[in-house]
Amino acid sequence: MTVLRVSDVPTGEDVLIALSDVSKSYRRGAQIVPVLSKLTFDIRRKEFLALMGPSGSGKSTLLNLIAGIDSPDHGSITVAGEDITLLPEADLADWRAANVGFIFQFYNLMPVLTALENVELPLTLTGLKRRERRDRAQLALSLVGLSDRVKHLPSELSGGQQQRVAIARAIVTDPTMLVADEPTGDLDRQSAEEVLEIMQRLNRDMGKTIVMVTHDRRAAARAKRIMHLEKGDLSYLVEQRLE
Amino acid sequence: MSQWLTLVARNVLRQRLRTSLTLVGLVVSILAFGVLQTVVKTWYAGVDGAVPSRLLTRNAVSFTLPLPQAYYKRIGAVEGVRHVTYMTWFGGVYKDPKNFFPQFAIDAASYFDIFPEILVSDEVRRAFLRDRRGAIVGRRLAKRFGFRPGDVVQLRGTLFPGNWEFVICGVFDGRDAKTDTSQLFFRWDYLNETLRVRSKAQADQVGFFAVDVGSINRVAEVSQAIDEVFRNSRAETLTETERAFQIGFVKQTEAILISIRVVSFVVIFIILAVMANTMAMTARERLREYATLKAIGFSPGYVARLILGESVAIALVGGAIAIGLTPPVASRLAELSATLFPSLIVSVNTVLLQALSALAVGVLAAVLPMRQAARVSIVNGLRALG
Repeated sequence: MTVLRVSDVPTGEDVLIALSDVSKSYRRGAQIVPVLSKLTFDIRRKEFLALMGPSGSGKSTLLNLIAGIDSPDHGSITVAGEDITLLPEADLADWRAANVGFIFQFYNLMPVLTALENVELPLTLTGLKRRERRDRAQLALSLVGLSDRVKHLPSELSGGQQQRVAIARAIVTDPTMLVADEPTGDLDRQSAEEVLEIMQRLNRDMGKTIVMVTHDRRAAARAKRIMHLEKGDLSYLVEQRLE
Repeated sequence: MSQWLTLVARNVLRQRLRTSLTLVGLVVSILAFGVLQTVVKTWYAGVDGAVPSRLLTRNAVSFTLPLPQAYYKRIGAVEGVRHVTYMTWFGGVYKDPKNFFPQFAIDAASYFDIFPEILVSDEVRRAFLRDRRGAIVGRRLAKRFGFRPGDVVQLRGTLFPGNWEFVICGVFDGRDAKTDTSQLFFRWDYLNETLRVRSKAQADQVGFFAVDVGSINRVAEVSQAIDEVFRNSRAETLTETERAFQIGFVKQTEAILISIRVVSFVVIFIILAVMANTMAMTARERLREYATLKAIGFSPGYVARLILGESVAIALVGGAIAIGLTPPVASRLAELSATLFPSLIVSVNTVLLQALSALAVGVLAAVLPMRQAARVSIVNGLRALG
């Protein structure tokens, strides 16, 4: 394990996501609360990056900016060469559909849709035929080990199974990156390990770039790199060597 | 089925109790709206059913004042008049004032030529002409009181003194549903002969004349000609089309009709408020789902259409049930109202108005929740409690 200063992180080397001078603040009543301040760093392709830090350090805000569901006050965020801060809202929605797979802490599945229909949902934006959508959704569910739960509603699945369905939904469109906000935060230890195992496999075997926010050190230990945020700034970065 | 339709259909059934209660409210409101509209329309049925070439001649001062029966021949002699008849409103009480039904003394020989919508068989007509005390009753009235040919019906006079006995000769039907078959007709000559004995001052007078012109092109000319005949006489006449006469009659109850109309629209407004509240609650509860949909690439418009689809689906189902229930409920109301409404027939216009109201409620109730769901930021939506 190597601990690096942020300034030592190599840049320009197969970079997928580049943040440059990114600042973000929120208005709380009459007060403006700075969350991120002039953040500059790169995330490489096939990276598995864990973002850690105390509550209020801005890690979820940073994840939201990278995922294109929030916009910075200042600076640019370039993903695969495209500055997403310049995209209008409608284009940004299309960009997210094509490039980002979301994994949320509370799964955020549609309760009225079956596991298969939930996974198929993002594919309805692609123009694929129904048969092909179904085949791909089946495949994604089989990758997370849920081939036998396709017709179950989320309420009929355990937390771990629901999060696996959410992972299948995130990967079904074969996005450029996966963003996960506390993906194990609502799971018991065993389910959390199963989910992390799947995420690690997606990164290792399928080359998926993953950015994960977590409080859990054991979850972060699965990542290739860990970034620590402190009061809206990167404090240090840990490079891990995993087998 | 498209994913959008699947989501809409399943969301409708998601909160079954809430959806059911909203549906009940919708059905009751749209049903009440339809029935009230039908009542108003029925009130105007006489106007709608008026024959354009038929004129009514009444006393120029007021329709409550009579005209001399002697005008009959003089009106008949006016150029352009094809047929003429006369009648008098009797206003008697059958056992109890609550048993109200219209009664007219008519000229049996000429009445049916001018009112062909009253269908009387030749046999009944002959019996009516034979018996001076004879009366014919409409099908609805006969059914209401169980009147049968040969029965003696006694009416207590209110405008004309004494008790009056009539022998039922037969039953008449209406040419269509608009024809009032809750009336009783008896012979004017019987009324007149009795009045000569009991109340001489009221004898030899009629309520009004009905005139058949044959062609609507001559209506204005003939009505003017009739009134001209009696200008400066003891009882001047006012001749107008049957439609104008009916409008004048209905206008006396216009305030009631306006109130009924207003109430029918207030009912719709109330259900709109209830439905809007339901949809707002629903949208608030699902903000996180909407934010998730937007995060994974669905447009704010798609999310808005989900809410609109759900709202319109509930409103249309409620509207359809209400439209289906309106004819039987209106029919039952007509039965319960005795002779107040000859029949309550739900018109196509009323059905369209009901459907349009249901659609409007569905669309308008969704407007604010759609705006809220489409505008909420993904980040704030994801923080919302589900």
